[in-house]
Formats: sequence, structure tokens, C-alpha cells
Amino acid sequence: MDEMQLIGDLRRDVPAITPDAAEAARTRLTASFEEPARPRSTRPRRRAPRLAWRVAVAGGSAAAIAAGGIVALSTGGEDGGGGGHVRAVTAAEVVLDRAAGAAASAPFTAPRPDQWVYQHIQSIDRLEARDQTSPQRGDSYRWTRASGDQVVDTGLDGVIGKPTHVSAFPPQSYASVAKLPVEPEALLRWVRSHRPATDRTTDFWALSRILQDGVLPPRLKATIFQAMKELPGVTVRKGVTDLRGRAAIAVVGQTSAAMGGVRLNEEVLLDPIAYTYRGEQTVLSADLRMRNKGAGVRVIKAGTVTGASVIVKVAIVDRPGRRS
Amino acid sequence: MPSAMPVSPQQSAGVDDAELIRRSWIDSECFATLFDRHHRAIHRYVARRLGTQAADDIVGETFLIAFRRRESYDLTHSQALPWLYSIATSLVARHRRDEVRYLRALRRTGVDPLPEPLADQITRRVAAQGQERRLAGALADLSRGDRDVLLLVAWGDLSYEETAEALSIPVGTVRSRLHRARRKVRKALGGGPSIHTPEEC
Repeated sequence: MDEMQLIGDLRRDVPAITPDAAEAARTRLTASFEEPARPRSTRPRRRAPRLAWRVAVAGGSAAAIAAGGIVALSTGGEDGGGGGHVRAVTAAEVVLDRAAGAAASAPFTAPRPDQWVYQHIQSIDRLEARDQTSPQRGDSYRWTRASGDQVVDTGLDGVIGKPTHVSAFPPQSYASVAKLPVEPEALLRWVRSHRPATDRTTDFWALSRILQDGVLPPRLKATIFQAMKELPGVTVRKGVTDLRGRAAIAVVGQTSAAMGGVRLNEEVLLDPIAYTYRGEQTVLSADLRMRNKGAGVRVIKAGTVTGASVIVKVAIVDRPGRRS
Repeated sequence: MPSAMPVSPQQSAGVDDAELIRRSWIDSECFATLFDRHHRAIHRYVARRLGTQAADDIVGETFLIAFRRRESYDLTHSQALPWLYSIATSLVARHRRDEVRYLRALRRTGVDPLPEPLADQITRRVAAQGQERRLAGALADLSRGDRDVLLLVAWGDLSYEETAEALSIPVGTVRSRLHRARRKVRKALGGGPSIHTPEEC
């Protein structure tokens, strides 16, 4: 008898996991989803002299965006020394400030507590980079009760599932987002202290997640864009096409996720004229070289979309299942 | 980051492991679906090495660690089992002395001392045959690296490539370790001490 077969027979009749043990292990896992965040060591952050560059935006820095470059201006200096202190305003800051302005001035009606927020989101369901095929699209429909206690999802088959409780982070109901701080530093502090301890994502990613919530108070939405300006390494990419083929501007931030060792960037997509929020996508930050069995090395280009979602429709409705 | 919506049970059916893990970045609950898919396989593998009691614990620990590392999962791998086996195997390593002790006891007494949850299962056990006892002794004598490769292939049903991935070693190393392990086991089975063997295949 072959020794591999003998080894394969050894302890073959070991008892399967009992339902109780499986349940205990599963509960251990799901309980960790909600562990409160431990205080994180705070990284040194640059403080943006906000006042100064508001002026720059008011002065119209379309040229800065068009050139993808930076505008330097005197800030007067925070140390009170005045003069000589020159600070660069990046294209990302200009774009984010416009997005904040657009968000703050958009018409808005808050849902009543008994109403539901309906969201239709289209997303990529297959990674282009993994399958070498065109990304497949999937549609998701979700109703979140404004008071915050229930969520209803439909599957791909269109069946409305049972209400489940909403998770703690990101906040998903209008009641929970309405309570968030509307000052950039305070919002960042809130994000860092409220996401689960197991959440190793970047601040940019966390903010991007809140943006995806259906209905946000205008001030909060504006604050999210302002808070993104405080984060290091945020840039702008132009000439981007969203999942539905529309032109968009991307605000690019880092994620802690990687694919084949190549870091992924998170891109918040904005309407290129109105600066309203469209959706998001993740892209490869550098070329990914993949070894295929017998097929040599395949190079997947930097910028390849590895996942994306766009908001197709958001509406405030009276009960789950209604779409308008 | 990509798909904004969580996977409801009816949506997860056609979704591969990598996609589930990607979605779990957004919605932790998707990771519970990964647990539902693979906890039995991981449990069985660990239970064969350390017994069901240790396996109960290690399964929970494996998925907890996996969840915390989910963002470092390489999404180009559609199947997550090699990754999960890799975590489980590193946890098994903490109990290496127990594993070797059980195998040596099986060789010595013919009775597998793996701790089991139910007392009546012990009475169902029959004394192992000579071949099985020699096999247990051979497994106990393997180096940890050789034993990991052999058992991931034999009990985890992993391919050489998947084993290499699970242990973070080159495929060539998997081949050479497996070759050496099999040779030692064959030698132990063929030329071991003459233990009484009622029936050989």
C-alpha cells in the first residue's frame, strides 16, 4: 500500500466539529467585529492653515486643477512671524474644497425617523485584475430605517430579505450620521475611536465609507471632504471614468490593502463639473506582476480598477421595498 | 472598498473567497460567510493533528487572526483555504510537543491518545495495527517542516503550489521536503522493528 494512502487513512474517523463548538468559534469571530477600538498612537499630522487657502479657492484656482499642479501662496505663518512662510495648495485641496462647498449648498431634506433611506448601488462583482475578464456588475438595493434600528437588503434575485441590525461602523442610519461631529479634526477623532479594533483601514478609507451612506446632512458631507484634506498623501486624478462610463474626477487616498503585494489606492469619484459625490473605486497603485502557471508573467497595469461602486439612486421612502 | 453593499446570504452563493474577503473590508459580516464555508475543513485538519479539543480552540483562533489580517490577503487567490491552513498550521506549531507525544504514544501502545470529547468514543477504539503504529512513529520523528508539508498535502488536500503558499516556501522546497518525508515514512513502514502485524495489505 502506498504510504500517502496510509497517511490519508490515519485518524480518518476523527469526529467532526460539534454544532456547539462551531457556534462558539463563530461567535468569537463575530464578537470581534464589534470590539471597541483601542486608542491608537497618534501619528504626527501636519496642520493645514485653513484660512489661507480658503482665500486661494475663492480666488479661483481652476488653473491649479487644470495644470494638476500646485499654487503657492503666503499664509502669514501660524507662528505669527509673518512673511516668508509659503505653503503649497495642492490640487487635491482645491478639489476637496469645491466638493465641500457643493455638498454644503446642496438642497436637503432630512428623513423622518419612521422613514427609510433607499439606496441603489452598482458595483463590480469580479475583479478585473484577477479574472482577466471585464468586470461584472452587480446591483444592490438597500433600505435603512432612518431611526437606525433596521436594514433591509435585496439579493440579486430581487427578494427582500429580513431586516437585520445595522453594524456600528461605518454608521449606516440617518440617526447615527446626524450625530457625527461636523468639524474635520473632531470627525477624524471620532472615526479613529469608533471603528472596530480589528479595523486596520486608513482614515481616508474610513471617511470614504461614511460618504457612501445614503443620506448625509450637508454639513457632515462637507466636513468629510474637509477632513480628507488633513490626511497625508491625498492627490487628484483627472480624466477618470466611473463604473457607468461617466467622466469623473478622482480624489486619491491610500488604503492599507494590497493585491499581490501592490498597495491599493482608494479613489473618491466626483462629478467633474458639480463636484458632487458619485461613488468610489480601488485601483492598483503600481504595476502588478503575476506569475501564471506555465503562462509566464502577466503584468497588470497600475491604475487597473480592482473594485468600484457608484450610487445609482438615493431616495427617502415610506417603507422598505419602495423605490420612490 | 469596492462593492458598497454587504453580501446577504442569497448573494454570497456564487462569490469566491477573495471576493468575500474584499467585501469583508466593508462589511465584517461577510467574513462570517467565509467561516461557514471553511471551518469544518480547518477543524478536521487540526483535529487529526491535535485532537478535537485543541481543534475547537484553534479553529476560533484561526478565523480571528484571519479576520484581523484580511486586508493583507492576496486577492489574486480566489481560494482562501491555503491561507487559512497556513494560519492554522502556525497555531498547531505551538502544540508541537503534544502532537509528537500523541504520535509516540500511538506507536508505543497502539491506542491513539488524541483527546476526544465523548467518552464512549474511546471504547470504540480498537488497537491500531502494526503498520499504523510504525506510521505514527515515523510522523513523530519527522522535522516540523517536513511534517507540515506532508500533512498539508495528505490531510489538507492542498496542491504543491498551495502548500508552498501556505508555508511561504518555494514549490521546490515543498517537493524536496515531501520527498524526504515520504522516504522516511516508507523506510519506517518497510524496515521498522518487527511488531506483530495480524494482517497486512
